[in-house]
Amino acid sequence: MANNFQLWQGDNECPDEILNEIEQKVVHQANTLSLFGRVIELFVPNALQTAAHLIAGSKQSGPTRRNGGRYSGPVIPEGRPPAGGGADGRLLPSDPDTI
Amino acid sequence: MSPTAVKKAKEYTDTELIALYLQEQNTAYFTQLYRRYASKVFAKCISMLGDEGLARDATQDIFIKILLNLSKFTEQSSFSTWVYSITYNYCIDLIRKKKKIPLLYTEDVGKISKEQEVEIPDSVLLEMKQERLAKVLDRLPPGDKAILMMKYIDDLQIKDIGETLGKTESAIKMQIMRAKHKAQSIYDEMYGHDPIEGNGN
Repeated sequence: MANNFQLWQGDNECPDEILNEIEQKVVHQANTLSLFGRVIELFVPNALQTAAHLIAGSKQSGPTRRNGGRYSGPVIPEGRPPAGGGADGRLLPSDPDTI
Repeated sequence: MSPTAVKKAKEYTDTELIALYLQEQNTAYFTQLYRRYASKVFAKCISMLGDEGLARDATQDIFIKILLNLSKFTEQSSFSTWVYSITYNYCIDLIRKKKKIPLLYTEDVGKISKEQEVEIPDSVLLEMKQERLAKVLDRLPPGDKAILMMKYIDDLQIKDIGETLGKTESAIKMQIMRAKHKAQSIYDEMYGHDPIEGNGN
């Protein structure tokens, strides 16, 4: 059985039309938030990846380097195999086994 | 949502509806939660704020707040307790901002007086005539009003009231005692010819 406090609050119950009006507004905001969440899910990963490429640079988009520049690759004279052995696996002259 | 799905949604518990909404982002599940609690939230808002326009705006803001914080609901208390907690705190904050009331509770600090040491039985308030109770409650500080509403309307445990208002259990017990004394003194002032008997059943 309801006490007087509960009866007092019961007198303040909301008419259905007001509840329905508030429901429409709340659901509209909920739908907007849900849509916004899906947009974030779709575009943020791609946007972050693009930003990462722009910051780090990729092989295709990196700056071109001149021959002999400070950060250019090793200059290998003609006839000499590259460091680490030739494609056929032959050891370098400086290797201890060849001494 | 199809009629069958709507019917099924009505059978879900609050916790199931929350999980389904967070998983599928289907607002139909949140709508079901709204329909379960909107009437009670509105009733509390209008009881606290005393104005229908404010209560409508408050109800809308409260449900948006519930929506935005749904993922933070941890099931430490029931969903209804969580909803009422948001409702009462929202209303108390709103009253404080609008009316610039520094004192939300009766004599928040300091020792209680000799008169206040005497416990007033719950029946004294619960048997008060309804129209007089409404007038007495309207004159209580908003924090006291909220505490009495939580105790006598929502049947919340002292622990839950404490969690809602961010106070210890002993502080809540003390505040309930003070609120009842304040209600009695207001009643005596308004209806002195029909005083409350402190030793009632």
